[in-house]
Amino acid sequence: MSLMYVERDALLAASGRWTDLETLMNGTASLLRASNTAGLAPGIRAAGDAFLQTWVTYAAESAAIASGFADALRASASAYTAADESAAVRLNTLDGRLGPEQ
Amino acid sequence: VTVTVEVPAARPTIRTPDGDVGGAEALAEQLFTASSRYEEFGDEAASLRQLSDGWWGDAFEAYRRASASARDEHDALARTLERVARAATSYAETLRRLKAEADDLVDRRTRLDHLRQELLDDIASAAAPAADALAHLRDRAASLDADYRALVTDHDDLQRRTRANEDALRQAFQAGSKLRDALSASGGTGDTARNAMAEPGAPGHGATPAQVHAWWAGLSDAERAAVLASCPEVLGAADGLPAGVRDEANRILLDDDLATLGAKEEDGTLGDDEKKYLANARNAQQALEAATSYVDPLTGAKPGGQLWLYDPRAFDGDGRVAVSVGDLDTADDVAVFTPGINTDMADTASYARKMTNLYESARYNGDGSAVATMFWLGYDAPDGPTDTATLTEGRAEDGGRQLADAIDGLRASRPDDPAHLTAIGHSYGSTTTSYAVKEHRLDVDDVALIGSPGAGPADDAASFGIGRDHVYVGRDSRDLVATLGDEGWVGKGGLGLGQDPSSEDFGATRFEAESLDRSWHRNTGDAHGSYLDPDSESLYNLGLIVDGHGDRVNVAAQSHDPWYGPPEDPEWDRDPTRGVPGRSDTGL
Repeated sequence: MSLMYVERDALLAASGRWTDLETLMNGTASLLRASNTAGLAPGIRAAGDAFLQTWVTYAAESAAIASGFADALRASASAYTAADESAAVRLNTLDGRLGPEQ
Repeated sequence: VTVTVEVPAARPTIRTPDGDVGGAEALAEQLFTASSRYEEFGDEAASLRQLSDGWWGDAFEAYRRASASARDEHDALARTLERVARAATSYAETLRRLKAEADDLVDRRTRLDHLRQELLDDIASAAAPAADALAHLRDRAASLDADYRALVTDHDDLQRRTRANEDALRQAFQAGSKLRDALSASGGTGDTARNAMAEPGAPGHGATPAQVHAWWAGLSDAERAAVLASCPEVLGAADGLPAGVRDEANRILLDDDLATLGAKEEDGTLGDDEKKYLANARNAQQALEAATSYVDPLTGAKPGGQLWLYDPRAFDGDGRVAVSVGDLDTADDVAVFTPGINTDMADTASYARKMTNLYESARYNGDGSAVATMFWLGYDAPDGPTDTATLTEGRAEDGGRQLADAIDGLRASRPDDPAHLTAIGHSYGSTTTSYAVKEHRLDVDDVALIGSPGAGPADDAASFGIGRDHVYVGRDSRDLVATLGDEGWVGKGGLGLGQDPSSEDFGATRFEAESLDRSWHRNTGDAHGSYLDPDSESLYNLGLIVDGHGDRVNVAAQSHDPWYGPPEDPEWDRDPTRGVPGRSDTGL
């Protein structure tokens, strides 16, 4: 890696938006869970129910994916901050001047 | 002596299709809403990839790759869910129709049972019938038996189509469930639909309208239900398909847009372009409502409306749309109206109401034939006087090609029962119509140009190739736009868009089209926009032309350009009429 640059706030803002997506998809899972196939002919309700059930799990998985992105970005921001702070601590201990340590 | 009259058994037991239309529609709407959420996820994931202003490096690249996957997969899931939602909409719409048909069958069964009981009573009261009376009773029994048999056939057909409708939705559910299917480009499309769309002649692969028509005619009920549920975006614009099929497909697309874009509007995530698409969809919905709620003044019945073309995203959001009043599949007389500059999909409802005016005029003063009048905006009309496209004929030329394709599609959709077809072009749309007729040999019986700035490539009515006496022109003498076309030996220096079709030089039949409210001076307002107003001379004469009786229009003298001065319009000083029978009375 020759280049690296990070703005901590940009990562945290993006993390917040991924969290919003997590909320959106949790809502979608609830929407699909509340949907029903009572309006369909009896012969196709089973297929409809199976479809809805499957897509509830997909929506929940999407929420988990969004949550994973949010967490990863937050963790990255923390890690960058920690690394920066750690580096700062170490670099602050450096003495670049000649002569006895002061 | 015992005589026998075989009275047929009462049959069949009518089975009304199971299912509840409202419940199915509610499910479809919920699936559309869920689809829009997946779309929002994909959009936002795409947006969240763009963090390069605030983040570089290997970690960022890893994040970009992961978020790209999330975007792609959720876009695919959105499309699959949308296809299944469309299939549910198709199921609900078809179920509504099937239930109505079942109700009709129940009525027929009740009437036949009543006749059967009358026959039984008459047989019981005829102790020793004479030979002719006996023959009459047997004739009645035979007739009744034939009617019962026909009822059984129709009932079987209804049951078959009911099963096909259910199978189509079941297949959509199944084809959109497994993750691999749901993520695929054809998720939610069942095998029946996929196979049918791969047959020769299927639309979307360069088939001619005639081939598309033959393809549809060769499909089973199950295949028809499946492709309608799975591929409405293809069927809705497929030239050669029956108008009723296109209408069903386009209504599914309309419901899709109203639900998905409406859900995004509620979530506050509707983009600027999408706002325009949603407005277009809502306008198309209003147009359909205007068309379907219209009542025929002669019969008191509703001729219905059809959404023949629907694409709210076309032409950078100006939209493509066609809405008819009346049934394009069965009408004896069909009119296709092409509008001019400044027309986009936001005007659809307004023009649908004008199509009801035209329908009414054709029926009210007509010969009783069935009529359908269609507003067709299948080309990119210039945006207005300030649009440079208005000054040239490029859009008209392209529109002429599109119009010719549309007419070919209409013709191919009913090859054994051709309608009397009239193309009407208004303003720039008259130039478009002229291009279609002259350059593409538009397969129509009559042409009417109103408020025309010029007939484009045609210098003479005879060059349309449909007979000079089948070319009609309406021009209000105060309509400034309709005076822009060339006439006389001097011409107008290219001010208009070709020859003035109301001029002597052009040689068409000019009909009376003066407005009672006309101004003392020429203008581009009311004088140019009132040709379809109720109880106007123009609408009266257009109604006759649409009904196939152009020979009965009230003829107006053509404009002429004497060598010694400017063009003269003989209609300038004539007193206009409004609502006068035989001149301008167009309805109740």
